[in-house]
Amino acid sequence: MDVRSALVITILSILGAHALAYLLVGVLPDAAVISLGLESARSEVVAAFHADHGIRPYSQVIADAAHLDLGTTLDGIPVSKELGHALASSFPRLVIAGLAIVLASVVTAILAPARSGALDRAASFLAFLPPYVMPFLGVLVVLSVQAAFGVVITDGLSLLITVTAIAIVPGALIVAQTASITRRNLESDFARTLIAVGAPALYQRVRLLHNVAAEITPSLEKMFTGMMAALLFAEPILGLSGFGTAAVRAVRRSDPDLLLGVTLVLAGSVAVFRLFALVVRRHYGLRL
Amino acid sequence: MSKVEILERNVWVALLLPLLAGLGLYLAFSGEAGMPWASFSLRHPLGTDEFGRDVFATILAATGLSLFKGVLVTSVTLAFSVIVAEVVTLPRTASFATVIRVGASIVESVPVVLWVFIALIAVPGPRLVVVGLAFMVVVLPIAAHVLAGEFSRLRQALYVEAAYLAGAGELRVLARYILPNAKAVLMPFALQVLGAAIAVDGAIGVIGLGNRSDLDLGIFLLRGKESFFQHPQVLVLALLMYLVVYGYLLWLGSVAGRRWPSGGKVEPEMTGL
Amino acid sequence: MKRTVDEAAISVKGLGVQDARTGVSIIDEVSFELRPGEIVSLLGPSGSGKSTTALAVMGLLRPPLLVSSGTAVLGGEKIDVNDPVQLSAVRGRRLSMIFQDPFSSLNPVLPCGVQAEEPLRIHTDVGGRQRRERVLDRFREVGFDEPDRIYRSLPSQLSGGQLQRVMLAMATILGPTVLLADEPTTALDPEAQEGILGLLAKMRERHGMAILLITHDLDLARTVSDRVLRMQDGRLLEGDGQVERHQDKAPTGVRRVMSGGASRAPLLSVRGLSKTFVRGGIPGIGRRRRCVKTLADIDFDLARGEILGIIGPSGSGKTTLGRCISGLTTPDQGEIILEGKPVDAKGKRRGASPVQMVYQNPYASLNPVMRIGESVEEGPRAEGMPSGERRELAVRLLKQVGLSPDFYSRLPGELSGGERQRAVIARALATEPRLLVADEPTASLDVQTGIQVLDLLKRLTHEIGLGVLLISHDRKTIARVSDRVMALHDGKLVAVTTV
Repeated sequence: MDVRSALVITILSILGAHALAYLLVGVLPDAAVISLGLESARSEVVAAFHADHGIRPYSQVIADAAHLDLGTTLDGIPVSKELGHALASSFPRLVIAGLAIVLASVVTAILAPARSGALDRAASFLAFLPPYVMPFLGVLVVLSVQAAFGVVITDGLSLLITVTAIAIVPGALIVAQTASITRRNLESDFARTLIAVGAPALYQRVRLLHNVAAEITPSLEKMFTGMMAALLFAEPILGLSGFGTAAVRAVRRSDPDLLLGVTLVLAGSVAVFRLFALVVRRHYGLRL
Repeated sequence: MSKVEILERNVWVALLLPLLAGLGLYLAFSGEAGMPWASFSLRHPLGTDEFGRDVFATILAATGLSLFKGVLVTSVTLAFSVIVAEVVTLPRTASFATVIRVGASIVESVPVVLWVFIALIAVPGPRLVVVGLAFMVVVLPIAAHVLAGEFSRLRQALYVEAAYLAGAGELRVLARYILPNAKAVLMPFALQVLGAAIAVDGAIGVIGLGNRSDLDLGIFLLRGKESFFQHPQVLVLALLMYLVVYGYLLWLGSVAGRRWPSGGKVEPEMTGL
Repeated sequence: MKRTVDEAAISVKGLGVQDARTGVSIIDEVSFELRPGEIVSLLGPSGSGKSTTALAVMGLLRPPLLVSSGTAVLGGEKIDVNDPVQLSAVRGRRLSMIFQDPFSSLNPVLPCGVQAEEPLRIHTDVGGRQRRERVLDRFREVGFDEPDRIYRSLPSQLSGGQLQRVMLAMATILGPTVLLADEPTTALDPEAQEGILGLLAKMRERHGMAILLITHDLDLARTVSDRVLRMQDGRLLEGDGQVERHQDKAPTGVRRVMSGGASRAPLLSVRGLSKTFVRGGIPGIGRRRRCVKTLADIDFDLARGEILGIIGPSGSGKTTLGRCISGLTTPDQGEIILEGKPVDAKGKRRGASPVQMVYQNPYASLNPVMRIGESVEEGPRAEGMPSGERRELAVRLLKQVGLSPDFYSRLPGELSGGERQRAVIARALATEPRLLVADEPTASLDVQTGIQVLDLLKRLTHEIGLGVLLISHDRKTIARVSDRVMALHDGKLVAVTTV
């Protein structure tokens, strides 16, 4: 795939995801029925709802989005402001989680055993779990400790639990793949060439980090999507404000503009990761 | 032949056994409802829930139902995906392949679970049907794209070319040359889709979109969290069931991997939510 | 320790390698010496233990193989091939190795120049700029006209011959006293082979390097070596290793003249055949990147019962020609007439093709999950033949290609390379083809087995009047069985000669 094709697909993905969400949220149901429930039997209430929250035509949605106007929530708050606050809360958690995953990957590449074993099985198991299992395990631990010892959960501990809940499933995927890639590369002919010119074992592993970086890039997108999926559950389950909580609120309340905004932010950030992967693979001369 | 070897030879039978066990236990224990939140007893080893149902039996039944629903949705999804993948890899369908690729990119831009949530609130209908259809529609382009990649690779195999030269038709090539050799990718991928299906089913309960009385593992997690200090066994057992189910699916994956070695082609994957 | 002129650059005594799981001996009591400035060939068929010997000396054996006995003395210093620390110090510096497949022996994600610097980075304190200069010098020495471009290039951007030169530069940049070259020319076309052999001779002349050249090609060994050591079944054969030189004989000549017996009625006519490939982009989205003209105006005829050899270097269009004739690739221009009728492309044809293929890789030519009998029956099944008759036909064909009837129920994994290639030929014959396209049918086989397969093709041509297009880059293969030889270069027909 060439760069132009990759860029076209990326742009189509963002627009396509947004348009699909609009189709589902704005076109198929009557939002009034969903939002108002029993009150939707009263025509004047429905009329007032449509006046306040009527879905805009898609062309206007796009035009407004170009000016960073993503509409308003059912509470009348601009979606861009709502999501801005939410992202500001979630961003540090995502960054720490991302850095932890990168560090775990590097350590795995340096130290992974030559044969698959317990590390791989554990990582594969964790990577396979639903993203809400770890937050609930975190809740179990926290509540058990509180019940047993009456310990107060500090901000630091809360951050640690949240970051772990976000990072562990996608991190386990990256660690499992890093171990697999490293192992495969250690058996390769080019690794043998490196040994043949006198490279010690640690030097070999460090040089092969380039190969890990190149080969793991297709998984970066999955890693990020996994982190966002974990965020969707971790924040509401752990009672924290943030992007995940905002997204779940949008779903529970059937808030169309907020849902569209959430979709746009998710699709856009996944696109950024895709482009980053593209740049890394081009740098290493690999096919896209 | 040992029991493990028998299981290993019959992966699908192995998959159906737990759900049969779960349903059976439910039938055995469901009987008449007991007192709400009854404490541990011989009849109810882990007590009863707020509806007077045996906690152990209902969570086990919920697990079995999750597996059943997951297998059903996965089978239908993969059947359609195989058809689409086969069409996409035929000659003169290159543009259709591009459509599938773009479609996969679109649905992968957002976590699958969010698509299912949006479909659930947008489309009226029975939850099982809506969720199943939504899951299938969302996963189909992704699955078709993955399978099309493998089918394309196999189509370039020399033995497939030789089959065409010998006069074999498309159906014969698909049935005897491509699908049997795609098992190394198809089986682990099927288990990943199954894991995703079970996870999506539970996710709906976790965020509170289902009914509290539903036999749903996600609902049990949510209720378990709410009642933890009084009745910790609900959350603990529900979490344990998730760990057991996914450990079991992973074991099935390793069995499939030994039975149909991929030679390193298949890397570990997430549930893809 | 002062080294005398006569002291061996490397002396290996009683080397033994075992499979640690089974205890089976892979090589046993292998002893040899290399003197400074000497090229010694280690000759033997596939599986004789040549590469294992070199890997054992370098300490590069992978589990479950391990060195069970023997000593190595390198320039007077005893080397423990099981000591990774000692080996790390000498590898690349005093003892080096280059491998058979240059495409897989270089890291695909790092530029070639960066990789060629590795020995300097590992063994010296030379700074970045100086390292680069030394690599560029060495690149010039191995014959690169544009060393800067090669330095920046990734392996995927270079040819096999260029990559092997990079490997040679990397392996010799610290001036090792001993170089082990494991089949360095086998994966290359004849032109590149000569280049690499010339470079090895130059290394010997300029740097006094002792070179152990591992090969299965006797002619090559005689041409470049001072001594030839022969290996079989893991042991060195007796003999002083002196080389008989055949100066008056071309190492790869076309010698034999086929006698008559084949009918000369025209079977295949090809006129004006051309094919251009387009690379890059996604259909419907990506723009086309570049056009590669693979075949240009090819004209030739093939008679019934004739074997026409097609020879040319890698990238000359031989395989594309074979695929066009068999209908697997649609040409852009020209016509292909078989027995008076145009050859149909794969998608347009009903039933078995009158042109069947025998591929280079017998390990990939058979469906791994289908029994041999079922594979052979594929063509008759498509024609609607009843199962009983199909089985009889399959058993008869297996016998015809020299396989016993019990091969019918075996899986491909249970067959050797030669047996698989015979099964592939049986499968091709089951459709009663008029023409067989054999694309490098012996390239993946050892010499003995390859000869047997070629002889089988020749016999079948006479027995059933089959026409055969035999594609190869190896002149000896072509010369052995062909009636005529057609040479391709850059997609063009450059010569047609009678053998």
